[in-house]
Amino acid sequence: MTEAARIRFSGVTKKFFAVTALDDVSFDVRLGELLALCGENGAGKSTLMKILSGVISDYDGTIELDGQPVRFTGTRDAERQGVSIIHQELNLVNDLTAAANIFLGRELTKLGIWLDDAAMRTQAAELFAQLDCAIRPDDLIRTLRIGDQQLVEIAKALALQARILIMDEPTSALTESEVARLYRIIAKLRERGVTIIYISHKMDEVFRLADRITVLRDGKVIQTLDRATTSPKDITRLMVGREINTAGFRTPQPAGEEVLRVEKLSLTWPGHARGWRLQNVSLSVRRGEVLGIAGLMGAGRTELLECLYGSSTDEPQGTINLRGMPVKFADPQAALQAGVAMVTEDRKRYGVIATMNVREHITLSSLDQSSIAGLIQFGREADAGHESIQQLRIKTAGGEAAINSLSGGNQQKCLIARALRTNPALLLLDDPTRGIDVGAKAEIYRLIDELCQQGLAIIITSSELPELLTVCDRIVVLCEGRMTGEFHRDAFSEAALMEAATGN
Amino acid sequence: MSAPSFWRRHEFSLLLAILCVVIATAVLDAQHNYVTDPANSGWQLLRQWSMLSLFALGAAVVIITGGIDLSTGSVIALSGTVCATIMLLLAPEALTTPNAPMPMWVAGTAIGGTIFVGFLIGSLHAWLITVVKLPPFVATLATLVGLRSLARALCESVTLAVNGGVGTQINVANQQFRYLANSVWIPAVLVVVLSVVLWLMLSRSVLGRHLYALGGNEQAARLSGIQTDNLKWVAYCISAILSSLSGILYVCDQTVAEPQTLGRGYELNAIAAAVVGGCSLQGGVGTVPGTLLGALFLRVVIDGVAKIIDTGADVFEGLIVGVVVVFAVTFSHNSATVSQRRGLFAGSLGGVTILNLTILAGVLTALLGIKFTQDRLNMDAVWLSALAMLSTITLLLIARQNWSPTTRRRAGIAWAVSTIVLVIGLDRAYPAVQTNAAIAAVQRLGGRVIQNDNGIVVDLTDSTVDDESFRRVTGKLDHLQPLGELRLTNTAVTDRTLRTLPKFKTLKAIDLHGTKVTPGGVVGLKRAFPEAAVTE
Repeated sequence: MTEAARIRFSGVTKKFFAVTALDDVSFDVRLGELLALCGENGAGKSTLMKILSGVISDYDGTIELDGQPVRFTGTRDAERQGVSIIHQELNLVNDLTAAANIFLGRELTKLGIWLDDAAMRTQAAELFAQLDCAIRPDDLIRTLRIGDQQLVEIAKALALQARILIMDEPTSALTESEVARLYRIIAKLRERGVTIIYISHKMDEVFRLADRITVLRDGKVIQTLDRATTSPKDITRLMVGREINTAGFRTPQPAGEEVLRVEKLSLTWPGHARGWRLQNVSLSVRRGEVLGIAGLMGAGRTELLECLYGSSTDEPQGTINLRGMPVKFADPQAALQAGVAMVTEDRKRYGVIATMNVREHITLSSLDQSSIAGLIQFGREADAGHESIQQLRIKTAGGEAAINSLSGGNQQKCLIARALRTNPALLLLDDPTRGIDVGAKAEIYRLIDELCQQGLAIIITSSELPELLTVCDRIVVLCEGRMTGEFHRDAFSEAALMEAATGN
Repeated sequence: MSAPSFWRRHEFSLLLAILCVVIATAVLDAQHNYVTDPANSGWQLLRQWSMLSLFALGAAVVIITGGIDLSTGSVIALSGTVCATIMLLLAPEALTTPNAPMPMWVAGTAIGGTIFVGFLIGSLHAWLITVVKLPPFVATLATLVGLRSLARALCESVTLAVNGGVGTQINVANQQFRYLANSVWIPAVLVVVLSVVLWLMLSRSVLGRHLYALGGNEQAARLSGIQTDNLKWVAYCISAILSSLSGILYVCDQTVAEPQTLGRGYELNAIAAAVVGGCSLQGGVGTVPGTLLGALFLRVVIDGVAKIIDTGADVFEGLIVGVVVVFAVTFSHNSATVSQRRGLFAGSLGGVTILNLTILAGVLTALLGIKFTQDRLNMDAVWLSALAMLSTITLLLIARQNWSPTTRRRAGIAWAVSTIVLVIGLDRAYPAVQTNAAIAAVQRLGGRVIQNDNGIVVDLTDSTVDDESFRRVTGKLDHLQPLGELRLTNTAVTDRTLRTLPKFKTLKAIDLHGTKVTPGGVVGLKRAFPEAAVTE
């Protein structure tokens, strides 16, 4: 190896009780390069980066920085030596200003007692200017968009004089234009000589940004490849250890009768300049059909599904017809009784109940089916849970296993099972594959297809266009709350969809 | 809620803990009440346990839904007052005369009305929390403060209207009504029945499962089609109605409704019982049996300490509840985090904590320890407390060191052995040390200590001793056993000294020749020591 190793991992091993998260991981990161770290969920990427950034200080093996062995005792220690991390879930205090967040924990002071707000504001403004962004130092974090919040984190890393920056799935919540801006900023950082370790699932951005790609699987380094000599297909194969065929998940079939017809649906947005979250959205779904809702962040995808499920904060205007009958849902219970079920986007916050087990998750919405006079019949409930576990091929130690012992994909299946047990006519899936690995995604696509063949109507949203192209019969595109396009399967093209989504 | 086997459940460890406390109490209690009079002790315990359990179960239901009910104490006060008020208004003569018949319909109206008030309070909480969107802490804090005040105002105006004078309490002397609480089995049966109903509801019914889901993740529960607002209404009503029932029982028990003191601070006992019983304040976790055992554990510990130290137990009740809550929750909920976190006593906060705990150990030993050990030790409270502080600080300093587990274990064993040796050694040495100190004190005054047929002789003849200096050595003379003779010949002592002498009961001869004592003083002394030879 001719180039100097900036970071050298040798034999890094980390065990969580019986589970080996990292197994003898050894590789180099070269000075000034951008190394992409790829692997399925649970491959050990995050654990490795937690070790490098000092979050985990208890591991076997050694890490060398510029040839010097180091062992960080905490994130502070790592930051002092120039290693910063930008987590997928941002680490900012929502009620403080951007400047205050940048200097959090090492505030500039006058006389060691009083905060020197002026100096912090000036320095923060300088950092934002370097990053070419319009964030003001006095903006409260909660008023900033996700993309801007991420830039605050990057500015924080710059303020720390970071020489090594770890980015954990930085684009997962960004719009296209924000992603483009992030790419420009990454280029700038590299000009400044910052070494970047970039974690991502998305092959297009990995191949656009990376110099080299390291693939992890089951806690082991599989291979490190030069970008020039490999292809996305190779990387995917190395990641999962098998070929994944993304096409052919959808069996076309004749659509049945209309299940849902929405006319001129509007949802106001009080206190916002635009004034509406949704405006005059009209669409329909038939039995056995998968309708995709495409759109960038903030286009109103989630809001649309919430209106259909009766869980929106404000009451929507317009008409919703379910099987020909006008309906108005006051709450999700009413929607479930009428035959509309939903699986939410934010699994952790709105889906999983950490104190409950798998069986209880599956039967929660349909307990009336397995109870007599309000008393649960445990035998019947267990049968119901077992049936769903079999049907959806949920990988679990059994119905009594804690929900948190399951992988993200299997937790998602439990939530889908919960919705399906209410025997819905219409299933709403809000970004069902967010944060789950490639293999589990394929399982979910297959499941969607099966459900359609059984006569269910499905509306699905996704932040990834290719996913919608794979599973949908029809796609409706939203841009800033308005419908800007509708495409049938034979007219699908990523370019056309993107054009509609950006409002061109 | 994946169910571990019974032996690893929280309930089982609580049961073990309760058993240990009961056995310790039976052994350490000087009267051995648990052994000699099990029926009476049992009934006492049962009664107090049922009263606590009644409203602790309400607190548990609210905690399981992820809320908190701070108003319990005031709801008890208001309910008790309302119950007494209704009876005072409907049948004033029955209330004041113990043997007058209490009409059934009056008692029924009073109890029914009080339960209805509980329902109204629960509904008010639910409205404040689900519609006005106040945090449960704030909503129930407001009623905690407000309802007691309302109860006092109600009590004052009703007593003014009926009795013609403002009163801060309503007496409930009627025997028939008091039967409710006087007979142990009514509160106990009530608790058993309500526990079974609540247990069925929480563990077997759809409603209960929904309550757990609400506590586990409110948003997820709502999106699963659960009517979360209605559930909160149910939970807060259960809590308030159970508090109302205990309000009625407390009034029967205490024969008076005194809104100013009734149920004061009980909300915290209720929450403590629920938390010790395994309920998580984060919501979604907790059981009825656990809460019952938590309440029992609290009562057993309080009762045990009361039995062992014999006096002033209610003074220590709060301290006991506090310590029990800290330990129970530390060892059950986050035993994993505590052991993982390195060093409980590291850093400057750890240093101050060591000081804190050392002082606490010293004070507690001085206050309680001497009562626990009673006549088993020779040492006095000061020595014992100093010893306790020494051993505590040594242990904590060992815990503070960043040693390997083996070194730590060895140091722990060394500490335990040396502490035991030190306690026994000092306790054995204590009489000799004190005797020597007493002899030295006498010698400093210019006297001497000898021994003859009468026993030990304190000879202060011709010494510089006066009333003041003699008073200072009297404490030390206790340790010269048996004190047979006291010679104060030609010293400056007066009658004041004579008054301190009667506590030395073993004196056989007292020489007061040439002192400033008066004949009157000598007569008094002779009366105290009819056997002894008093020389003037």
